[in-house]
Amino acid sequence: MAKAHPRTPGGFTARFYPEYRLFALALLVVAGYGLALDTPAGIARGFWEILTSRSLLVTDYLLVGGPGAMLLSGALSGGLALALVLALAVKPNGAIIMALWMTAGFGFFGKNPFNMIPLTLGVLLYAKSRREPFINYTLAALLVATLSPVVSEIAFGFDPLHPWVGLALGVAAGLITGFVFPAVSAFTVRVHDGYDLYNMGFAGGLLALLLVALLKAFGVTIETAALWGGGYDAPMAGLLFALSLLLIAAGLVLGRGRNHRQALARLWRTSGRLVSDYYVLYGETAYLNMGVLGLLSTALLLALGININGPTMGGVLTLVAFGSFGKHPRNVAPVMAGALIAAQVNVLDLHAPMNALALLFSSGLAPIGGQYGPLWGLVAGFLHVTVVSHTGVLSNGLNLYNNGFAAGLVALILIPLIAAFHRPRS
Amino acid sequence: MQYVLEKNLRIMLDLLTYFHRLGATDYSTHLEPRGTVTRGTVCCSLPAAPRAAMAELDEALNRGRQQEIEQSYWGLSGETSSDTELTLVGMMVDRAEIAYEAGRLIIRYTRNEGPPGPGTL
Repeated sequence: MAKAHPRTPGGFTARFYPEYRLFALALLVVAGYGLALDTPAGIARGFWEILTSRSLLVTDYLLVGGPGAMLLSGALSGGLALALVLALAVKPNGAIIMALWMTAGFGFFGKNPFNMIPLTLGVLLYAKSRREPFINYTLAALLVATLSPVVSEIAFGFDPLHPWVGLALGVAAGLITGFVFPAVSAFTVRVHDGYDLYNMGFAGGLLALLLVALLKAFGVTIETAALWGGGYDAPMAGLLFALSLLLIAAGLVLGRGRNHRQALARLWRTSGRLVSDYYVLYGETAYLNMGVLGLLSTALLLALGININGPTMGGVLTLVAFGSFGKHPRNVAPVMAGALIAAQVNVLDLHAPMNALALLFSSGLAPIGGQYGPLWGLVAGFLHVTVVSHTGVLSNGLNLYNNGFAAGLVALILIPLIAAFHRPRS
Repeated sequence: MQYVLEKNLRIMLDLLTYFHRLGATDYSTHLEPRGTVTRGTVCCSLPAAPRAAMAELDEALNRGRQQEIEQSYWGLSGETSSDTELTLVGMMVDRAEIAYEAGRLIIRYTRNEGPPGPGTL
């Protein structure tokens, strides 16, 4: 069994655990791949477009800045998250590994180095106001970026404002949003009882809903975004496969001597409900789980003919990320099957952005199938797809983890009903 | 630190739930808040030493405190139907001793309620 690392807040080398070196290597692969797909000048131009975009959900950075700039955004977003973790001397665990990989994934569509920082600083201000160490709020500080569009939309999306005024207001909005986020997210986890893995998205959705309502009350409306790119399926699939194989190789090399087959068998029998820290429980076997999820989800996109672009790559990397913190093939399969059924029968095409993303992110409800059986997982996935289109309207694209918001609502309604009639499997 | 009493009570409730699953009887608890350190003791009666359970408890409760997880997810502790409660409890205690004495299974844990340690922001 993996033991948590002792806290070693010493020099940089001491804090740069192998788990973080692996993530840094993955970021270098992503950035290097970007350099192979575009010229440095093109990447610079595209990256500027990304930084100054409104970044609402759905804003595909592949379309906004091109493939090289998109990958650079992901690598830098992940790099910023890693820098924060190193600065705080946080020891690796499944939740931190999850947050790092997820941040990199959302760096392809919505998060970027500009809009992440004010939110994280807001969390820092909250910690200081409570006279508590910032390290206690590491997860909130990393995942508050679900509301990154708040910063970008106010900074760049309100035309009548002078650019510098917009910028200042955007940063201020980020600070305020980040300040209130930790308290809300700590509370919302009780609402869905740990069955929504994207708890931060649920909290973000509630805050975004409130913000949209406040803006509307003062006559400010937000035009939604629907920027969906394509044309790079093969190279992006190749990158995703490479990252997945890197994780599997890391699990085998770093976890030499570990009985991965036995550990995976035990891992795949867990429900996945919060808090299922697979890295703490099963060590490097978690990397194998992450890699397998990456391979399977990428293959699914190719089989269904869904564009492999910024948002869907973010979806795959989110599946990968939660391979260390609650997801595995056995508990995601029923939920995603239910989502696929819903996507086939609803009025939209399967390949429509909403359906494609809902299919990938429905896995946030994996614990329902894991705890109560595949049939309930199927139901949860089906309901998730039908709910998510409405939650996107409520938050006007301000909440990147919109699927987390929808999942929380589904869990909030479904879990009491299931519990009333079913005993959870042990 | 906020919610000190609430967190300790939830830890104890999780451990009592674990005892219940072992078929234990005669539960008792004791809580000693002493400044920035809280010591808790949870006991139950079992006819024989549950070796496997004691090993599981020792491993789960001594994995190491993780305040960054605790802050976000402590609200899930104190549940009575989850297969994940020991994982979270282990992240919320600094150290635990598991013992079986005179027909009683005893868990003594320690929580540092102050900052996590030197060198942190």
